[in-house]
Amino acid sequence: MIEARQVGRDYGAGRRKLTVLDGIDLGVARGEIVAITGPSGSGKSTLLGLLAGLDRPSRGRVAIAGTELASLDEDRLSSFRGRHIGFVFQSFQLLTTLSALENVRVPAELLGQRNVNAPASALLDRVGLADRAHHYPAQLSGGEMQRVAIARAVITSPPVILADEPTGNLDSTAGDAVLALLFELGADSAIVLVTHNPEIAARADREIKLRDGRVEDVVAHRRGAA
Amino acid sequence: MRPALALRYALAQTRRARGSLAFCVASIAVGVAALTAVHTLVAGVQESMTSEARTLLGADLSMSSNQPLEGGVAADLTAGLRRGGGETVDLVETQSMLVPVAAGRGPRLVKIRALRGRYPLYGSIATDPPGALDPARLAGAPRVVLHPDVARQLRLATGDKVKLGELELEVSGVLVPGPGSPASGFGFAPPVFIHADHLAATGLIRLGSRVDYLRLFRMPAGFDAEAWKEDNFQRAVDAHVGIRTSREAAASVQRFLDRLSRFLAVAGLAVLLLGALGVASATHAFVRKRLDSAAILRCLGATPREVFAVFALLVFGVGLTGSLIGAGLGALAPLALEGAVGRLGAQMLPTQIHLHLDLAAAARGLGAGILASSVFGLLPVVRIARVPPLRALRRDVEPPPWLARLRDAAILFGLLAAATGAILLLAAAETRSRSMTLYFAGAVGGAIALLALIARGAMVVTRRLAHRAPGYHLRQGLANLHRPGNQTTSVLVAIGLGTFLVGSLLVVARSIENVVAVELREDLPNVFLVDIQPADRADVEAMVHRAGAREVVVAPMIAARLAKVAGRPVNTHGIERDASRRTFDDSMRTREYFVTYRDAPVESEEVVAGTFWRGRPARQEVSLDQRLGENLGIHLDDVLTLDIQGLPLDAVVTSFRTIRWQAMRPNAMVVLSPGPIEQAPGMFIASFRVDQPDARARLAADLIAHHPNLSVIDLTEIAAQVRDILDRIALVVSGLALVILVTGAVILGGTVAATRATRVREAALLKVLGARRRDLGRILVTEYLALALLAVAAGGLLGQVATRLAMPIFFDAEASMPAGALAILAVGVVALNVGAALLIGRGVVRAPALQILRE
Repeated sequence: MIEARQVGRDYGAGRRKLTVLDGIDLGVARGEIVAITGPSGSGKSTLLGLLAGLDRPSRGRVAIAGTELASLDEDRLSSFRGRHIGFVFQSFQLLTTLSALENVRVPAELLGQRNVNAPASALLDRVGLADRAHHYPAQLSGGEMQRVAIARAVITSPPVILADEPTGNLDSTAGDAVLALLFELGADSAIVLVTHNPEIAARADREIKLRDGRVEDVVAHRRGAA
Repeated sequence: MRPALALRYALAQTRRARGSLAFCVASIAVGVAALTAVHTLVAGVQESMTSEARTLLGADLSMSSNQPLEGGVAADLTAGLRRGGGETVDLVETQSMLVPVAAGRGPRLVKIRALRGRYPLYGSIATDPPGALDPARLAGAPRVVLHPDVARQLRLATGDKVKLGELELEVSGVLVPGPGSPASGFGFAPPVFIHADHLAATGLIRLGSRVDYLRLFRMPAGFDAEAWKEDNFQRAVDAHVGIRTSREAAASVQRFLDRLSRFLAVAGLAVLLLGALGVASATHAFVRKRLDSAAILRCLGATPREVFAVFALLVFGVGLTGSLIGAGLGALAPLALEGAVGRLGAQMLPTQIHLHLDLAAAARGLGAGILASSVFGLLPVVRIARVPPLRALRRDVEPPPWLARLRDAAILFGLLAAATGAILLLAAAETRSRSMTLYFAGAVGGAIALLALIARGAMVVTRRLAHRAPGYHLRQGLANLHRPGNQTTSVLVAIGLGTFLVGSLLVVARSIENVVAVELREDLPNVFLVDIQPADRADVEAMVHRAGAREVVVAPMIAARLAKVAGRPVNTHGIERDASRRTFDDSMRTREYFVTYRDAPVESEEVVAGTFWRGRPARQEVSLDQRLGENLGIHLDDVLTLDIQGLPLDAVVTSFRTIRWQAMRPNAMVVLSPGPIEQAPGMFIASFRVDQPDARARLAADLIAHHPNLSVIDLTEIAAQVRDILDRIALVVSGLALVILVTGAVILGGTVAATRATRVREAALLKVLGARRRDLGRILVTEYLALALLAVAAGGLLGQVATRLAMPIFFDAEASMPAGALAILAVGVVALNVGAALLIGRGVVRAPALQILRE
């Protein structure tokens, strides 16, 4: 589902050029969970941005569901993202002016889908927030906000879910619950998870360790072992 | 994205920002209200004038000349109109002094209207007692009907005796002010009515006297006065007969209103643009806070165009809401104030003002508001549409590639061009003048650019020097001026522009007041004598000198027309037929001139071409006003043929002059060298200065007692009337000025509201670090005080420079600084803005320190 070949990313140019990612090869199949780990500055978030088409690689190619992202202009890339990728962020990134239910509906609405209230409500029910549907993000706890974000990420049943430190701002209990939900609701998607937490990485099928912008190691886990 | 969805998202964006968006709405509403109110007012006044056009003239059309309308073309035209069923009344008008017979009062300059027939032909003029204007009553023993101002000033009542020239008359009544009444008009010589049969007995109609002969016509229904005028215009012009229709009579009063309304509309437009600037500023602050939302939307699949659509709809909605509120308020406010407007216009306008709900004015204000707010508001929206989705993931997003930046710059440039275009379009619509549009756009654009530059400079200075300021509160307060998102530039521009506009208005008003304050201007004469007969000249001069008059200037005046230039008749074809639109240049070709003669140039003029004679040249020479020469295509050495009461006089043009009429010295556009012209019948005029009001009044009374046909014009009285009119205009302008200042405060309030969340967080942090409420208050006051002081200083300085440059050009006068008013303005603006900012930001100092832990 996700295919990255010899992906590299430089910032700046000439003598001020800084290579933050280089020679990354990655393939993730539907139903597979891949964790990307590494110390700060190792290029984890940069790689996630490239896989999402939020950023463009300096070298190499990224394809999602067979579509090479570089071939899409900005508008098509946005629509493609809406259809194929679900996001979960460390800082939740809910739209503060929309209620929980409205936040969940957004990706489907942007795709032009109608009657999205029922599936959005059902998803909120599944993440245990049916009674908080009309609350605004400021009225929710961190764990609740992340559960809303997960519901939002899966409402269009995207083939890819990208999660950036999804439990980074949560305590361990809330983090566990959120991760369980993410894996459950995204069971049919290819999930790429950026984390610096080895316990969470161990719950993935595969862990790709980055250091200084390169793949240092690839470790296969038995999902749920940790 | 479906429009309904974009609208829903746009509405959702307002949910947690209604406070700051309310300021956006208020900014634009104030501007639109000002503009709509001005248009409602002007339209109401103009419609009142037009609906009473016939009553204003008292007829369908009028014929006028400075020769009796008997015989020739006038008689032919009259006969034709009478055959068509026309009813006529003849009036002879001249100015003279009215003197009460009872000692110790007057004299007073009046315009005598000598009637022959029923007047007016339309409507009626109320008098006290009723029927005083009845022709039969006036035709018997000599009687006069007075203007109420004359009756009041000279304490005259029905039955009192007055003199006009050599004739003694009984006051038979006083005009009652009302719609269409001559008692409602404004003039330096208020009208009084007598019967034409008594005019000769006054002895005022002599050779060379200034007399106008009018004939008014009431035509049967269906008669097309405009078409008749069109058919007979050229024939009448060639015979020196003027024709005016009732529409033109109303329109010429409207011309004054037109100028006033354009000025007010421009002031209203300035308020609107200030409001638009407020929208741009508030939107900018709003957009900064919504960048993350936009990035998230982009991550979730929204295209830049869709993000733009959401926020553009929001801006449009804010503009529409503000414009609707403003248009409603602006359309209704003048109706609520109809009584006050009526009092303000009393004696300035010859009609009663009826205001009504003017949908056209409201629509115009609405359109202008939507245009200004949309164009200015969209400037910051471009930024949010281009926000990279990566921002949702990380803050340190690399700048976009040069091609994208170039494209963004092009879009921004396009929007700036649209903003400039909008300013020009709105200015053109309001001023209907290309030059005024460019002046306005240049002045506002220049002022905004300069103020923005000053603001940027201030931010750079505070960034560099704030840390050296003594005391923490001052340091922190000044440092806040370059706080990210503080909108220092737009707030400073808004308050500075308001101060600039209001300060300039104050300076212009004071400077004009000084120009007309004849009693304070030692260099100007304060009395004019008109209609001094040649035989009376020596005696009049002796009396004037005995009264201690200074700077006595006496000049002969002879009525003449320009007949030929270099042997060719003056071309009267192609002049504007509509009297209400006729320009000064048009009238130069048809009017009668008062020409003078003397042996040398005078101080109040400058010879710009040729040589002005000295003494008595051998041939008859003439010196012309430069504009007159240019307009008629007259060159040096051309022979100009004057028609002096039927007799031709050839004179060689030997110089052109520019005349400083503001010097108030007797002068003329056509000045002849002494010679044969001295034999022409004419009169003299004189100017001089007598400082003491009592001495002036005694001299006037003595002069009239001995020479009843003299007109004495006391300029101090006229100046008082002009000041009264200026005061009323100033009142309206002050209202607009107040609105400008309030708009500035609204913009500051909007900015404070927009940055409130940041300030609350910062205040909580400072409290954690040990700051007390008092400390936070002092920091806030320092910041707003510095901002307001800087804005007031910058705006005031700009106003000083602009008025010092503009006054000599547009008013030929030096700018006078009303120090007291300017000081009050400065203190008021600073207090208003600091007060508004503290009021809106009052929750900041009360922010609980615990909040910082909840973040």
